[in-house]
Amino acid sequence: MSRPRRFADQVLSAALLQIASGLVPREQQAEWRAEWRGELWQVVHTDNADWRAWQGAVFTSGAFKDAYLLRTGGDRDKAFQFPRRGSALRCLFLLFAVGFTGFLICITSPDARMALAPPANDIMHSVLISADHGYRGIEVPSIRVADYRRWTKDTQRLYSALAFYRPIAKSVAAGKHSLKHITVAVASRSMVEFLNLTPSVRAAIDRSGTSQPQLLLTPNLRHALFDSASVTSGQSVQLGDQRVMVAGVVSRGAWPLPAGVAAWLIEPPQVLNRMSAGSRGFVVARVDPNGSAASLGNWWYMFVPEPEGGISKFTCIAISGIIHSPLLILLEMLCLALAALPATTPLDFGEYPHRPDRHTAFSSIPRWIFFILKIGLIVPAVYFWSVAVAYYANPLGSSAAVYIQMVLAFLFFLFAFRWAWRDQRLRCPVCLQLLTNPAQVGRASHSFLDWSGMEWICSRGHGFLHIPELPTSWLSIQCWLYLNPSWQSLFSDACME
Amino acid sequence: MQPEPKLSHTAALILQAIHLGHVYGFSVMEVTGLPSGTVYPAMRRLERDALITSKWEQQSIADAEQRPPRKYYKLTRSGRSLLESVYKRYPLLEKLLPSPAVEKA
Repeated sequence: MSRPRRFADQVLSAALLQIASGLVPREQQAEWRAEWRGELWQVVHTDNADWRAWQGAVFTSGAFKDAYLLRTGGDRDKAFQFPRRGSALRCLFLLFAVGFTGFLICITSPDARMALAPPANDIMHSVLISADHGYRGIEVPSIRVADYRRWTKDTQRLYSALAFYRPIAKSVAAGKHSLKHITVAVASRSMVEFLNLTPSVRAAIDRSGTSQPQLLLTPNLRHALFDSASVTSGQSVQLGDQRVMVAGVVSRGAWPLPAGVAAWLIEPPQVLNRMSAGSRGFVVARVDPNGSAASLGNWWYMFVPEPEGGISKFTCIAISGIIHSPLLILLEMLCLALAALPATTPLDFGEYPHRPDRHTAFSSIPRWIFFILKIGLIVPAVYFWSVAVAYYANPLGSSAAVYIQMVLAFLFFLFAFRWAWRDQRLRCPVCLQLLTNPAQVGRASHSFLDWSGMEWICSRGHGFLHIPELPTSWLSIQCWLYLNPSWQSLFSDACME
Repeated sequence: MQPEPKLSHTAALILQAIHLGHVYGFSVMEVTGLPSGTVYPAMRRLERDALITSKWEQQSIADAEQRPPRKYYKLTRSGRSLLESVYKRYPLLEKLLPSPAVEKA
């Protein structure tokens, strides 16, 4: 080890010792520190040949345990102890930590957060109409404005409200700031009913009447245009070649579907009427609860006779279905993974004979509770992680997010369940501790009839697990063998260390 | 009569190391291969149970060797008698740790 690293090790060790000494009761601190310093000197002045990297720091790390036990009077029951390695509690704790980390990542991303807890408003009873593009119609504008104009008059038996919006790239300028190629959704006035707006913004739009265009900014665009200055209702902004009034700022969750818009321009009806008939956009409709479409479910087709003859087919997708798609995908992938699991690992947990000393009908219950808890923690962990990854950069309802979540949820479930089954098989049925010290027994190549396989032992002396290498008629699956209680003293944990 | 404390294999190993003349913590660590986080707390418990006693080295000796003084441990009478009984429970204990005399030879 080089001289500078050795010096760094000494400094680090001294610092660690100083920190650890803070745990020791004040009256014992001086003597405790003196003893550890004396020992540390010995460690850091070992001959170069015997020196191991960061030996002093490794040595001093033990001082923390010593100091802590000294503070708690050496009473292990009083001291906080992280569950021991391989214990059932530690396994559950780690699973919980994995799931909780996924949850934290979810809530840091706006899209993932919306996927977990979608906004609750009237939009749940609405559908998105797509021009026979199926699910792709959620992302691609496919309805001609001419169709929208006709539907506002002709589809009253199906829908109680219809709205149209069309994303267009425009330049925006306010004060010193000017931004180009900003996606602005030019929307019908009825779109206000579908956006999740605050009462103040809604009131500002109502006050301004229906004759003037109103601009709703997203927080990002507001920040880009006005920095940290507050935006008041009625402030004007140059949008392309027209001057428009800002009605307010909408939250990111105002529209849960993928639109990628930075601002909403609520246009008066006459502007939409002037729009070219072939201009395509999105149409969202509120299903009339008393109409014939109220009971059609999450997905149906709408056939519309065209004025010039023929019939056009449109797909109607329930927005509640799109918003709840992360949960639906999770359930589908859960079923798929459970169906695929038997192909990847045997589902049998092995043979557990009656315990000779104290067998009761309930002795296997802790094992099953542990297994159910494991599965119960795996499901939300997979949900959070698949949503976190899929929706971190993709909006709710985007096909990319759907496919990513499908693949991840399936793979996570499959590997997590496979691990849960294997882990369960390698645990002691009494203490649920992971078995240790695997030993190969027998040699299958020499005599096929001899028993050969792997033996694992419970570190607390509850028994052995025999796993046959080749399944035979007398031992086809793994088998547990309880040790006689007289062996307990050798493995006793209660004795003093 | 107070029941005789039950020693784990680790504690018996440390007791045996001290008995063989490895009288300070780092020396016990080296000969047993146990980490510091195990050895020092175990020695404190052994001392609390009066199986070993400790004594600080004279400052003059430490000064002569230009190092901080060490705390030395040795077995008490009850520690020695417990170790004798532990040999029956862990028969290989005597063979696991060589005595310093054997090492030198």
